[in-house]
Amino acid sequence: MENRKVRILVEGALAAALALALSYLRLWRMPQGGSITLENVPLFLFTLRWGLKAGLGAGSVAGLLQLILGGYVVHPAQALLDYPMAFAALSLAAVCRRPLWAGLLIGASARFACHVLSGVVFFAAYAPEGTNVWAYSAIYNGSFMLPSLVLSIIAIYIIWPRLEKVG
Amino acid sequence: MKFLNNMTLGQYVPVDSPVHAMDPRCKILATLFCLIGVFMVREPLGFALWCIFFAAVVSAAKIPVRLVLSTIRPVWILVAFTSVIHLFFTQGTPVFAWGMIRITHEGIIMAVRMGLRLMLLVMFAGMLTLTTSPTELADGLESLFSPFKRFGFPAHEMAMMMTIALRFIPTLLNETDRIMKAQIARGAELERGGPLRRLRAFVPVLVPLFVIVFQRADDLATAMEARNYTGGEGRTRMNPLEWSPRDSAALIFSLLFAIAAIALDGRFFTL
Repeated sequence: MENRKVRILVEGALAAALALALSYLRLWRMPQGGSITLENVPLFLFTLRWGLKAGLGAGSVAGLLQLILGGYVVHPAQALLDYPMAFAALSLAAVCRRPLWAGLLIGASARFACHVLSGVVFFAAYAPEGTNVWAYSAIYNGSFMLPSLVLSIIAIYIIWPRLEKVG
Repeated sequence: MKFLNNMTLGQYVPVDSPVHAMDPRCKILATLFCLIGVFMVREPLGFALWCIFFAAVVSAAKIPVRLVLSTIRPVWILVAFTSVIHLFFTQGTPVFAWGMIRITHEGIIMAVRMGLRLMLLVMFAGMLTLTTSPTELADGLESLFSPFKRFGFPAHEMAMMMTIALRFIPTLLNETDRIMKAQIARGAELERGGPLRRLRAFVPVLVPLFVIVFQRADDLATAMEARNYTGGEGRTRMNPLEWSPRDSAALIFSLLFAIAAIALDGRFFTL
């Protein structure tokens, strides 16, 4: 295993750890009970530094850790979509680096899509027949997921140039 | 921003019990069987069997019932919401009607069925994390996924990253706390204003935090290489996982129980 690989592995692990640490830190409490955290920021930064494949790994690790450390399972597909896949989806930010915002938007939308899909799976299994599952899920997830993702994108925008100087 | 003193990470309750002593791979697979089994039953007998099985697991694991019930806390709104919409919006024979509100016989059954199913699922999954430490889970997952290595799945790397991350979450929480206090001492107002203003106030916390992460990653990577870390091949463990006959018995029993619960469900009595 060459130097670069170990370096990526360790930094990915620390990015996942920081994502978890930041997820315990509430930046802002939403009126309806959800909270805004900066958990996406380290994973975005990591995937911008090392690319899609590394980002997928770090994201899945972060998701699995969140599942182990306090997640909940109500449906097999929900467990996958809400945790490993949602976090791994952020790494799609690496597919488009210029302009930076486009990539970040792709990553954030991919994560949002995972949660909406998981909501659809949940409501399809648990809500009465005839419920508009897509609308329910999009509203439910949108209320707290979207502000968090938007703030993360802004945070990256402010931080990225400063970190480039540090290396 | 409330800070995290004496925070415990995860839900693991270290107790000396036969369930704790089981191999993590066995527990992960058995939990999977139970979750599928709970998902597949819909009549009183099936739910009763699973409740009995769950009670037996809890008492064998010597976990206080209060802690087991607290695993439902993050989802109780979901449970209540699901039950309530079924209660009011299921068509059928009305048993109670008052103006717009109509509760049907079928609605009550569906509300109880869905609520019970959700709670059992969450509690079964909760038992896994209550009785298995996060590190054991990471080791167990690595072992279970290692057959997929031949298709290029990085099972060892993922488990290694999980172990490192678990070790560093408390450290990074401390670092965050330290930097936040340092910036507050310099006059930063981290708890005032709307989300955007807080985010801007948070930038002087995030930048040093990321610099620290990059430096630590560099140090740790160097340390690992100095000790000749070469990835998963040929690596030995300090505490290797040991699969005992008891684990095989437990796994087979839970599989048979799940099959029996699904097969017997609705056989004698249906609603």
